[in-house]
Amino acid sequence: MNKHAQNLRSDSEVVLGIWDRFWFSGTSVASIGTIRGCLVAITMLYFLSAWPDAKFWYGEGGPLSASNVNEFLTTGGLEEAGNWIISPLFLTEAGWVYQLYLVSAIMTAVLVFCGCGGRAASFLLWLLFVGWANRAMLISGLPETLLSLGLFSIAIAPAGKAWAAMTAKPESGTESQSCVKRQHWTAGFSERLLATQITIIGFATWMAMLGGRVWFNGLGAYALAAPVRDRTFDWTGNDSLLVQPMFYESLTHLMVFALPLGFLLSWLPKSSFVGKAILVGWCVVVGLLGSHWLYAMTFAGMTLSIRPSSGRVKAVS
Amino acid sequence: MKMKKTRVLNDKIESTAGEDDADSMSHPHTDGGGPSESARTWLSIGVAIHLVALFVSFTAVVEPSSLQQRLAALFQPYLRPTHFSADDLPVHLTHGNTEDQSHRVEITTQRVSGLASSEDVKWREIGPAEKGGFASLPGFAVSDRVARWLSAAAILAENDQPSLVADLLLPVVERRPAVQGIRIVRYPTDLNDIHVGVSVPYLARVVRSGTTVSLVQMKETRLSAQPRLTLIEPLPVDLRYALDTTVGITSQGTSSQQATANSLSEKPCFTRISDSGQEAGFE
Repeated sequence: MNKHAQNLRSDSEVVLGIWDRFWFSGTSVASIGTIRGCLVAITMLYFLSAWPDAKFWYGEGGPLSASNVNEFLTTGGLEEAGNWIISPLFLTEAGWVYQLYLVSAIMTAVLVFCGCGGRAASFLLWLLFVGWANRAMLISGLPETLLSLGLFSIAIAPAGKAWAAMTAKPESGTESQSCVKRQHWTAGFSERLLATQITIIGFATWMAMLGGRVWFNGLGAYALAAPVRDRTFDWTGNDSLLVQPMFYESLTHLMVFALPLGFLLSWLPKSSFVGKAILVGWCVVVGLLGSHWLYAMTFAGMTLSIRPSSGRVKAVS
Repeated sequence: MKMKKTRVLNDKIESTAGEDDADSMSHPHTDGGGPSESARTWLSIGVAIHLVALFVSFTAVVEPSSLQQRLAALFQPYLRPTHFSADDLPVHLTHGNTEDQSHRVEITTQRVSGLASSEDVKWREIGPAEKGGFASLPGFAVSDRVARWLSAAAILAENDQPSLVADLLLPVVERRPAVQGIRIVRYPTDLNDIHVGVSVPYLARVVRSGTTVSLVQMKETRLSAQPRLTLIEPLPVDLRYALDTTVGITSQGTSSQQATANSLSEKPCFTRISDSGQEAGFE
């Protein structure tokens, strides 16, 4: 009995050890810097894209001006839901404030991209982004949610240049080389958080996809490209490959299988690269067919954070 | 004794922690050496709650159970302010239904008298993309925002929420005094039957009275399977308002009833009254 209890305790310690090792082991600050660079670049694109229509939406008399949103929530009896949507931008309808906010956000993004300002700049960027995304309310979508999750996760890691991992030469012994070698547990924690989140989102995406029959009957890929407006490329012309049933049905089934397979392989040490390549390929297809560019780029950027464990935890008993 | 053992275990873990990365880098140096025991505990609890909240939010998108709904509501105070919530976002990419269809908002300076005759009127597309340039590129961020805005308005219109639709659309016409009508146009997808054309989920006449601007929604004529008619006569204005052949909302919180009545009085509206007292309006 005593031996059994000892074994049980030993097992639980091993599990705790795996958990600790997974979340709190150090990793290269430079490698998370590359992923941060990707996400921050996408955030910059997002803020830039918001410039042309910011006044239209949020300016005085705009469809989502503060007074109009207030009226909308009151009319719909949605005041309680609105209580949790917090943004400093609800306080004003002045167009120039929104433009100033965008300029500040873009400048902060540049700072974070260059590795300046430490974690404070990264968290500031996340807060600025959340403030903007919450202000957008009805017109914010999945890319905003992914970017918020991504920016929050990478803000935990120490600051670093986005290009540090790519420019450092092994024999140089320069400052950037030392940055590449530098490890920190917060970098590992940040990377693990990013990877776990995107795996959960990927799993939820897959389950949600299977909730629609188009992903079973082979029409899914075609349905993605089907809207006649709002698509960057038209893949449904008469001479397009996508209109061939054999092609779109195969592509649909591939997309359904590629998502779980990509995540599974990404978490396995020997096939991680192949898994990530499959996931990036999946994102490219989603971007090209559905014109979900920001979503596809953010999803792909987050999948790069998946780093399998070696499984070499030694049990201490 | 147990504490000591756990510490030994953690030391062991930390000492082996960098092995993966050491494969690719010869002599990495680790800053910090990991968080303290209590920090690990609190961080672990925080991570677990965060991931559960995320899982609940993202899996509660397609037909959530009552348990998922309760859990999602529980996590709202955390997920909403941080913008981590998936809410009703299309995580599934597409299900090949109407929510994939593109929408446009169009205005006209001509008088709109009904849904059927609205096709004869000249419409002009408006929105942030109307000036062209980067904002008008299809499939990019601006286009996504317009799509979400109009999709929300179209869904509200189809769910008989004209007041909410008017809240969303009224600002577009308020400052354009020449505008007399506004509509949301829904484009088909290539998955639709070839006979399915452009549909109009929302059509409204713009009624102006002094500084007040109102949108009076014009609905499709409803058919009825009621018993034979016993009376056909024009109804008083107040009764006509009660019968919802058109439903209006005014801006600035003024009398929507009066605005609707005014708009209806421009064109007589006849209502069939059946023996059972139920009715179906037509123009």
